[in-house]
Amino acid sequence: MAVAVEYYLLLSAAVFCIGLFGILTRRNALMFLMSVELMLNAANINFIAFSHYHGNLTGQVFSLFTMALAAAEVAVGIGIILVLYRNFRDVDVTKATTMRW
Amino acid sequence: MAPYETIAFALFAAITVASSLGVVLMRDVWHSALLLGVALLSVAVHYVMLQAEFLAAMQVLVYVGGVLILVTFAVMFTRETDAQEVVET
Repeated sequence: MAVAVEYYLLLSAAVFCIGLFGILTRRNALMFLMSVELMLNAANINFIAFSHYHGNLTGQVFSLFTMALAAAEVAVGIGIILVLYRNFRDVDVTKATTMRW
Repeated sequence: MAPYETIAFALFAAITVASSLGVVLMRDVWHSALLLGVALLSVAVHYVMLQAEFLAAMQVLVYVGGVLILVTFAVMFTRETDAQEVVET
């Protein structure tokens, strides 16, 4: 392995922190979805880097499951966001206060 | 051999981090969606460098072909445009 696994861990941590920053700072619901995609990709990079490092294919199989989960999550999230836009004329998550106690 | 791989990793890691930062920091959601495509493709390049070619193909097919198309559809549906007001008046 030419590139040490620590560099992949650093890259993955950086992408994960960027996604977390996006979730915490933006108010657009679509930005939530994109930031979640970034965080799932960071987790996948970790899985595949360790899979390559240990010579074990379990990490690759697990990241396949993660990809399927991300695709399903985006499909459901897009539906929710479109209904949100239809009801509130906006995708700002602070505008939808109907279910607030 | 090893320095070239390190250089390629550094280049594509820089592309991944920069485009991810662009996704988060762009003001326009449409530009964020396009930069998300760049980030996902560069992650696929990392998978190729980690000898996971099937997962790289799945990354391109599932994320860029499925998830990104859905996100761009949602961006186009929910975008505030001036043309709508022109049609209404």
